[in-house]
Amino acid sequence: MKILLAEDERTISQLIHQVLTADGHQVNAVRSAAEAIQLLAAEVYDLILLDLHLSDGEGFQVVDTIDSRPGVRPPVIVMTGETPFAAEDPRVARVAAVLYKPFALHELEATVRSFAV
Amino acid sequence: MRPPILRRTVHSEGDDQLEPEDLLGEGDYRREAMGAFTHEIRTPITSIRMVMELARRQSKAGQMLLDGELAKMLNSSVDDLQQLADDLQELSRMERGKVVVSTGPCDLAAALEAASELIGRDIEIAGQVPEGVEGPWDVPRLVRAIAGFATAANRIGNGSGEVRFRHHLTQCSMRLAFESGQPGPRTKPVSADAGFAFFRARQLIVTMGGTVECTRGERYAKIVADLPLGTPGKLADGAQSR
Repeated sequence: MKILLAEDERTISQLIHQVLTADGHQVNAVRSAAEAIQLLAAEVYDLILLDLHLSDGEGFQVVDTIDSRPGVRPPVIVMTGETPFAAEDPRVARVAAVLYKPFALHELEATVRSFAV
Repeated sequence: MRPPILRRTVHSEGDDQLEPEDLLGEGDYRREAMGAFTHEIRTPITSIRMVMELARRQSKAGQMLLDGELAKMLNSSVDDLQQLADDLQELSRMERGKVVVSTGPCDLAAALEAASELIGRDIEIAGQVPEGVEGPWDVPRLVRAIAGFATAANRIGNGSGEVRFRHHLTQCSMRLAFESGQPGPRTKPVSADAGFAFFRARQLIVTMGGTVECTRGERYAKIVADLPLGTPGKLADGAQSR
């Protein structure tokens, strides 16, 4: 799969990039919402892995951009250190899955794998 | 040693008054600080879990248990964890009045320079360097507070990596302002997403006898810290007040 990874914490980004690339995915990693939005305008992705606290603001800006575009919407997996979203939180409906930090690599891999075509 | 990243810019005269409706009480600050801490501690823990899992896999595959790159990542995450633990401990000690604050003298320009070094290349503090300004401030704590404010302003401001800095001498304090983004019509109170660094920095200034206020809007943040100018503080000859 072609995956856009938006995560501003370098170590986590490097580790995810390393593991998913080893699993055969093509991964483009960015640190900010602005970079993610820029890449989304130029490339088509099968999956978005999105940290909610990016260096330049809320990760949901990226979800807003995805929602505003016509065409096929790639699934978004959110990674967050926030306390679990309440079921009625409107953000839940806008993302395909949520990974709560601290998550393990095998949880990440299993979640990504569940979206493989 | 990298070159200094403080640079001189000219700002228009202005006032740093705050909208009182956005000011929080001490209890609110404490609650938000704990929220920020519990959020931030999850990031290094995630990294450590991931590195350990990778190391286990490498071990099973008969590879080196922990290669140089993974060991570096592990060290970095443990350092982050240690820093958060130290910060929380100091915050607690400050709240309980257990911290003895040194009363300087502290050169503000040097403190800014040191804070810029501490922050690293990702954030630039842009503004007039306050040359010749000394005050009765605890040097290492002021350095860490300035770094915390600049980091927080960038984080809850526009995230551009440039934080505008201004200083202004009032009758009884040296006012420092850190600003990111452009103010809009709506403001909101500071919350946990300012990051633990903000709350720690705020408590440092309060412990030194100063005050801190934060105004924030949509992709905009302005943090104003008033540092007391009591004895033995002074404004050196020829110092710029703004």
